[in-house]
Amino acid sequence: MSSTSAARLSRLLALVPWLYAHDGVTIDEASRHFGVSPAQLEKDLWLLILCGLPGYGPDQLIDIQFWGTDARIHVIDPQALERPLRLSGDESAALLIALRLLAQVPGGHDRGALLSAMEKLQQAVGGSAPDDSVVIDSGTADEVVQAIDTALAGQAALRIRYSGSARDAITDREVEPIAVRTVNGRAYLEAWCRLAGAVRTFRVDRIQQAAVLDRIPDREQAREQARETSTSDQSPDADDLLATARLPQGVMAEILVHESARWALDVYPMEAVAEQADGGVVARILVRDPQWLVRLVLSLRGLVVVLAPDALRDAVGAAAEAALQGYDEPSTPRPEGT
Amino acid sequence: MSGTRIERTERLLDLLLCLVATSRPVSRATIRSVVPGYDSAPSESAFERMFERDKDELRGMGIPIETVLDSGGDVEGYRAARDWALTEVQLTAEELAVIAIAASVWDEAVLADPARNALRKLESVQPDPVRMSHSVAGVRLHAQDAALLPLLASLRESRMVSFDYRAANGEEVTRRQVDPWGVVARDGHWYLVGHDRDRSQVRVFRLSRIQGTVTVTAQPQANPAPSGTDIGSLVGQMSAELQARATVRVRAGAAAGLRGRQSVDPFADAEIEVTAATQGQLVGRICAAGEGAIAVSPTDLVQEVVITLRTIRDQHRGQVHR
Repeated sequence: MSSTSAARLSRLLALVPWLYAHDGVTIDEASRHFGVSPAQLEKDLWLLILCGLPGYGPDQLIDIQFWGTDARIHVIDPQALERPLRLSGDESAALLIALRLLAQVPGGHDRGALLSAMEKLQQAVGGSAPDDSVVIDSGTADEVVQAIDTALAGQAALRIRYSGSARDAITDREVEPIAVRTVNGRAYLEAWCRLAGAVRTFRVDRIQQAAVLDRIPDREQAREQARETSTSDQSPDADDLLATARLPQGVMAEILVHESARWALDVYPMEAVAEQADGGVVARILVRDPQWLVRLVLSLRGLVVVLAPDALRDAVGAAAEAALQGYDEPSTPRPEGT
Repeated sequence: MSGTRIERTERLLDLLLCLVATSRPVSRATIRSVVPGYDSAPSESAFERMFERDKDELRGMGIPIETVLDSGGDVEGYRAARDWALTEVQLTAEELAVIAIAASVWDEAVLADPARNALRKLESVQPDPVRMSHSVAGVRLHAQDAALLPLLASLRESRMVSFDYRAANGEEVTRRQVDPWGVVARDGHWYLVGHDRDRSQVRVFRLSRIQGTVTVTAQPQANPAPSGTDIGSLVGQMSAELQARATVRVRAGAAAGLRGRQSVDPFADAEIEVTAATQGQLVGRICAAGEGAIAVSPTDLVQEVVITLRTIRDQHRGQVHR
């Protein structure tokens, strides 16, 4: 429940030590750093020099010079304010939790600085730091993060065990890492996949194991390929299309969505084209990998039916039939030429 | 100075300086006569109100103001605790740069403001950070759940919390009293793990299902986590959300989604246990694995899987008649 006075006081208490540590900055620079207008910052300075320690004589007031042709700010006497307020519990928690998340993301950032920053912060806030009671689970094992870091830093290849989504299959493959990117808060490893003979993008949290292999002989080919494809395949909905062969333009399928599965319209890249009398809707969906659509339809338990194209219709029917074989179902031969 | 109405911010700052300047407690009478701004109070009670409000405001900002009692138990005066200011932290430019990235991780969520304020404080005593290009800069933590802040506070202070909770499968909202053990971020959701006092059991709560505000009670934590408890692993195992279970036979190399993070050899056929919030969801996940998975038990679930697969097969047979 902080008032406007408290918000302003917070800024003032951060402003004095910052100005003290950055002697000679201009009003413009300071106002930009604190996200206020130059006029507001000047008002803040005028207020500060009225304040001080009891007695309020010339030696007891906060002394700041900010006039003169260059309008540079010099803190002559900060009184007791040369240091900022201690970090509140929320503030230290916010930073420490975020640092812990970063530590779980691979990608060639300065891991040494990250760990020492965490340690110093933890020390600075003493006992109020979150410890075992706050868990950030990025879904990636530490060994995987370290292996990716090592491979990127040493330009080495990796053997990874990948749990693919679209094909629902687990594969071991050798990859030559190019970069780690984050899209919508998720980390992806872009790499030349020796299995596929092409650049693939892997969701880092689906990499179950990773081991560093040999040095990569020549990365030019991978880099070239990455440049060609990197703009097109990072769409937000690409999650389930990754690490699969991508049809660059995809194919548009037509599906019938039952009324009770209409939520799927908001979740998947679908576009409604015709409302049905029973509350259902016919929609179009962009399909880059047929297997992805098959799995989606199977997971929706009969509430979504593929209408076209026939090849995709058949693929769903065949997948359901194949799955039924595991249950002693009498096989029903598909009638020919209907 | 008299005649000029003193701004409240100025009065607060003078009050703070008065309280930090001395290690000896300052009495109310001294504060009233010394700190500019209180002289405008027309009466003793008006001063009391102003002072109480200001003191609360400073404490709300995290400034530790101690009330010192004399030997007779009366209030002698006030002072700021010695650790009111940030202790000396020597950060390198690289460390500060990493902290700056950490401060941007919060996705305009409840902790974005505290993170920014913390960064501002740390920057104020350090050289300017080196601007480095980091691939981690796009990482985001989502914490729209307003419950996170009070829960973190309750964990720091080891206190019981109470809140209204909506069950996963219905509209029913019940009041819960929980001794918090920890919070866990996983798959874009935050969870609270704790001991539910009314049910005398360890429970997992999804923060997005907490209704209204979380009350941090005055009661101290009564059922703390046994030492060595792995809070993170509890979320997967015993979430109250996971009410449906099935045994599923999965083919070698297949059914990656069902296998999840289970440690069985992925390149061998295996029988695994799978859980989900509802049986319907579980059926959907098993069907999605196609021929990669065969439901084994329970019987009613197996039947539902078979019926669902038949329906889907028949729906996709032949040409569409429209």
